[in-house]
Amino acid sequence: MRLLLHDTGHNARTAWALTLLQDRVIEGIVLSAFDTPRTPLRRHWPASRVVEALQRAGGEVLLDVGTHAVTLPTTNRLDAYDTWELWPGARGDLGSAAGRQAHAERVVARQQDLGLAPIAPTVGIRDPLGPEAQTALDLLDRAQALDPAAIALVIGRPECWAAGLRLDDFVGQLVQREPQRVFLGVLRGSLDYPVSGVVAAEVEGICRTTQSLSLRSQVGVLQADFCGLPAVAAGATDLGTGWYLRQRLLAPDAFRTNTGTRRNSSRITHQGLMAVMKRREAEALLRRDAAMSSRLVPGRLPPDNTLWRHHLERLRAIAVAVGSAGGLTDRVDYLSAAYDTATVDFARARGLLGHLEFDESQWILPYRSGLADFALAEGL
Amino acid sequence: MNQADIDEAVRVLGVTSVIPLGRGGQKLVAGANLSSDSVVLKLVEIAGPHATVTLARAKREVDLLGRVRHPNVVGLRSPLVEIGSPPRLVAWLEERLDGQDLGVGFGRRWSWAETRSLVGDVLEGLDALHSEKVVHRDLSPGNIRHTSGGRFVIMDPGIARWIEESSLTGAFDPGTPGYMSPEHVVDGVHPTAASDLFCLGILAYQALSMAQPIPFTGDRVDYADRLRGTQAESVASVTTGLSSDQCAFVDRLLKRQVARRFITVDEARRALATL
Repeated sequence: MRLLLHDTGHNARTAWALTLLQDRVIEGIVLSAFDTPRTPLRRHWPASRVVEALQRAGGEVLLDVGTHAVTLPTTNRLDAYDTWELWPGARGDLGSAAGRQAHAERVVARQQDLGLAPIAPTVGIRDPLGPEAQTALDLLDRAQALDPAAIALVIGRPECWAAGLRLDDFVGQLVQREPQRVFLGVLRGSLDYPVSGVVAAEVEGICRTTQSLSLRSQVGVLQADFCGLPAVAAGATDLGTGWYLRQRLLAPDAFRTNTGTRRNSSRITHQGLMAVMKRREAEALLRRDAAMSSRLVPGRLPPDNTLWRHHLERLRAIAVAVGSAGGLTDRVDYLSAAYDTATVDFARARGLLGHLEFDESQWILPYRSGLADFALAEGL
Repeated sequence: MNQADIDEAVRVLGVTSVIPLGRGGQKLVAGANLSSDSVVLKLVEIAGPHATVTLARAKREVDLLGRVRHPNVVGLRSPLVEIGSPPRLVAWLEERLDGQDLGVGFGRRWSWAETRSLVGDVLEGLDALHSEKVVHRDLSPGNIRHTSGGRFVIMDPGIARWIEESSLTGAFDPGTPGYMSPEHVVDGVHPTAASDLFCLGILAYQALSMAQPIPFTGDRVDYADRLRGTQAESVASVTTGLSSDQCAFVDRLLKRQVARRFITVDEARRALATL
C-alpha cells in the first residue's frame, strides 16, 4: 500500500513532501499542471527543480496534466497550467483526431522531458459507453502509441461508476489496451467533505473495476482519501490524498481561482471513525470519554500545526491495515469490520455529544453498503 | 446465380469434377479437383442492395486467408476471381478438409483430453488470426472442422473484422445465436479477441457437458439480455470428473466481464499449459 500526495499551490509543499518522504509517510507525489509550473512562475520553482528534489528523496514523482480538468467549463485557474503549453491548437480542442494527437504528443513529451512515467490524458466520463468514454480511450491509445508504458487514467463522474453493466463494458475495452498501471478518480460535484450523495452503486462500481483491473495492472485511486478505502480493499495499491480538500477530492472548484485551497484546518482526523471531526466536537468527546477519544484518534488530539501530517499518518495506518490484511476476502472483511465498529462508535459519540456535524450516514454507510454489495456480487 | 457465370469461374480457376456441397443465401460451396488436389470452390453472387458490402466481405475473407497460413485455419488455394465487370460473381478455392463439423461431435460428452485438444488447436488458429489483428466473430460449431487426423481447423472467417478498421456491417455484429459473446449484443461495443475466447469457452463447455452455458431458446432479445447480464454457471455444475483447475479454466473463458476473462490467446494458452 502506497500513499501518494497530491500537489497544492503552496510554495512549501515541496519541503513538506520531502519530510513526508523521508519519514516514509508517503511514497510519492502527484504533481499537477495546475499547481506546479513548467517554467518559473512568480516565486514557484519550475517543475524540473521540484521533480529533482523529490526524486532525490527517493519518492516516485508523477505529473497529472489535468486534461479532464481543463476541459471543464468552469476552469479558470490557468496561470501554472498555461506554462506547460499542452495545446498546439486551441486549449481543450479534442474534437478532431489531429487535435487529440497533438495534445497527446505534448502531454507525453512534457512528462518524458522530466523523466516521469507518463500518465495519459483523459476526460471526465459520465456515460461509460458515451462519446466522452470513447475520447478517453482514444487518448489512451495515442499515449500508448507514443509510450507503451503510459499509465491509464480514468476519471468518472459518480454516475459513471454507478453504471453497472455499461461500466463493465468500458472496463472491458480498457483492459484490452493492457495498461501496466491504471489510476481511477471520481469527479465530484463539489469539494464538500464528507462527500454528499454518495450511493452504494458508485462504491461497488469502483470496487468491481479495481478488482477487475488489478488482475493485470497496478491500480491506484487518486484524490480519494478515506473514500478510497473500499478500492484499497478491492485491490488498489496506491491511494491519493493530502491535507487540502482539493488534494483529497476531485471537483470543478479545485480548478477555479480562489476556491480550491480550503483545508480541514480545524478538523481532527479520527482513524477509528475513518473521518475528520471539528476540533470543538473532538474536544467535547475527549471531555466526555477520554478513553474512547484516545482509541479513535488514536492517542492525544494533535495541535493545529501538525494536523496536516497527522491526517496522512492516520490515513496511512488504516489504508496499510486494509491493504495488508491478506487476500481479497480478508481485505474486504477487515474494512467491513472497521466500518461496523465505526458505525457503533459514531452512534455512541452522537449519544455523548447530542449532535454531530457529520456522522456515519456521510462518512461510513454509503461505503459500507457499497463494499457489502461488492462482496455479495463477488461471492465473498 | 447465373450458370454461365459459374461455368466461367470454374474455367478461370481451372477446377474439374465440381460437386455442390451446400448453398446458402448468395453463396454456393462445391467440392472440386485442382489437378490432383481436392479443394472447396466458393462462389458468391454479387447482387442486390448489399452488393458492395458482399463484394468487400468476400475480398476481405480471401485477403485474410491469403495472409494467414496456419494448420488450424483453413488454407487458401487460389486468388479471388471476379466474373463480369462490374462483378456479378466472385469465386475462390480453399483447402478441402475431411472429417466433420464440430457440431456433429457434440452428441456425446467429451473427455477433458479431447476438449483440451479442441481448445489448444483453436487457440493456435485464433492466435494466427489475432496476430493479423483480425477477430473471427463467429466461432460456432459449423465453423470448426474436426479432421480425421484429429486436427481442429477454423473455417469461414467471412464475417471476421479487422480490429483497427471500421466494420463493414455497421452497428450489427454478426454471430450465431447460442455461440455469441456479450460484446456481440451491446450497442457501442464490438467483439474483440476476448470475444473469440468467450465463444471458444462456449464450445469447450458444450463439449464437456452437452449443454450451452447461455442457451438460445428462440427469442433474440431474451438471449441478448441473458448473455449480457448473466454470468454462466460454472461448468462444474453441469458435468463431473473435471479438476477444479480445469473447471476454472473453462469458467474464465466464459466470464461475462471481459476484464475477468482471458483477453489474449497468450493468457489462455499459458493457463492451458498448466492443466
